[in-house]
Amino acid sequence: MDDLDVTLRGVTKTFGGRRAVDDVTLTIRRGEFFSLLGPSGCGKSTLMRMIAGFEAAESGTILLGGADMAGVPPHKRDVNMVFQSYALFPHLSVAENVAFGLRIAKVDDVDGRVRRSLEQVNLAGYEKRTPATLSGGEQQRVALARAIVTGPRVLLLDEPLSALDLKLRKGLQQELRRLQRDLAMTFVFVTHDQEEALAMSDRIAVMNRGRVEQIGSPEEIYERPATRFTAEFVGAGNFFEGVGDGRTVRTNDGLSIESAASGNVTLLVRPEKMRLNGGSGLPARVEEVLYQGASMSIILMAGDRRLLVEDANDGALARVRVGETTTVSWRPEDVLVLPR
Amino acid sequence: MKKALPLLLPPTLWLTVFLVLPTAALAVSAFSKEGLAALLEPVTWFLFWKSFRIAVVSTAFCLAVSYPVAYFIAGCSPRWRNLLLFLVVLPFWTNLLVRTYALKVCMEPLGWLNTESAVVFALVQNFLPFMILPLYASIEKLPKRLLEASQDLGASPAVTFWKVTVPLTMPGIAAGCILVFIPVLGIFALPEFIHERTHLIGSQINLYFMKNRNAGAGSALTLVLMLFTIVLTWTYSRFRKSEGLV
Repeated sequence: MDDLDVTLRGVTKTFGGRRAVDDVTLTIRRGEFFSLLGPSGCGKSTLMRMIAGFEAAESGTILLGGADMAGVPPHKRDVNMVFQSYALFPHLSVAENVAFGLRIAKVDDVDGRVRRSLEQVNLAGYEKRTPATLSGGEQQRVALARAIVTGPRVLLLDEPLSALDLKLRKGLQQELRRLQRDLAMTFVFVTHDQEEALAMSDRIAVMNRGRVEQIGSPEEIYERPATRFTAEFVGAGNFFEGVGDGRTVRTNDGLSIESAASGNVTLLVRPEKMRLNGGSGLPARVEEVLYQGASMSIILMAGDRRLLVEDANDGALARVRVGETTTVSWRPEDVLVLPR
Repeated sequence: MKKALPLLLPPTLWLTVFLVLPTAALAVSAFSKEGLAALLEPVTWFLFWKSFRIAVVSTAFCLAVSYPVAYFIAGCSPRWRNLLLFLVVLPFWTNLLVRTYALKVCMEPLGWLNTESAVVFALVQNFLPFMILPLYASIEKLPKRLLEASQDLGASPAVTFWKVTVPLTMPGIAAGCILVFIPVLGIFALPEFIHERTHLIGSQINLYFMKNRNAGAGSALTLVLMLFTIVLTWTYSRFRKSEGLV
């Protein structure tokens, strides 16, 4: 139990008759970078606000470091939050924003702690500025410094990067990850961006309609999705619904795909696992070629079936022309089986 | 610039006729023998002090009563908010004298009439809307996220109130206090209705102009009152600028 920072057991919350969070059970280990990933309205933010204490659970238990948090108000919980809108105090300087929690905790050497914390987020020398004079990225760093400076057990981050532009976001992703390792602090990161979650997390909980669909490492989530929702939400995919007999799966449009699955199943082949070649395979017509810089996407029609193939832009696909006929193939071990 | 001139003419005329000229006339009349004599009277400064004291106390009570009311209204759903704000303004639909007489009728059986505290009560109830409305406007703008951020960082609701809510609603507090303090400082008639002996500087000015026909003394007192309120509003506008909020 000692190395568990957050434990949720059967946590449920209803808003206006709709279950925003539905019977969620999960544990987050000490020092883990844990992401709650899902589309907007899936309950991930509500779940985080329940951990912070801003929403009460209707049923279920929330434990922080083994202590039951029922009835404990937000200011008595050893968790800090980085808000999506930063929520910096406009009437206070950067230094006073960061010092806010320290002054309440009545610790000594406030100035030194503030300075070191600002250094950690690369904002040394910003002490006297006011939040209004900072860019979005800088405000986000101040919010981060303010939240980590008191050394909370858990840091909650509510889509902290979603308001920033792509380049800034990539940079901050790496910084966040480095900071989390340096501090060895438990981070709970809420995002709807699957790439962000895959790149940063130790483990991910994929959420859908208030429920947890799957919990696992980024590799497990992507390579072995447990449900069709996870498979579709995390990355793109080519899905084949059919009936298997243990050796092949027959789809309703007459394809036979080599797979050990039996019964009603959905097969998934990720776009980057598919290969175009002139040899044996599924015949298909090139419908569209999408140039994406580092990679290329090719949309194929195999009969009435739309297939997506993705490959690195290493020249092999440069010859593919819209309208031409080709074949598409994949290795049997790249076929993922999902229950139906 | 040439095109702007015709547009500037009406307001310039208006201000000249109704503000600059009367003020000049007031100043001329104030710097007279009677005016200077009135300023040397100890009773004048006693009345200034009394008016100042009553204005401070009334404003303080007004703020103390209005803040919870404004806070409550700002927290209601939009439909309730509009209804409650309407109720706040409703007393203005009745004439001040009528309202004060009504208050007098209510106070009489309680034996509360003819005290200074009754005067303060009457002033507070009369000026409440001037305090509630600016307070409501700034509390309503306060982002809820900031209150959550404060609590998240360990501040209890009380600490959050003093460290976040009050500083961030300071523009509303200052505006409300100015809007109550200045009219109360120069008020006349209303205090005497409640308590005849509560004679304030406004009543004194009224007395000089209307009864004693001593325009010089009345002008001198008015000028001092004006200077005081100008300094007050100037301080307030500087404070607003330095705050950088609004």
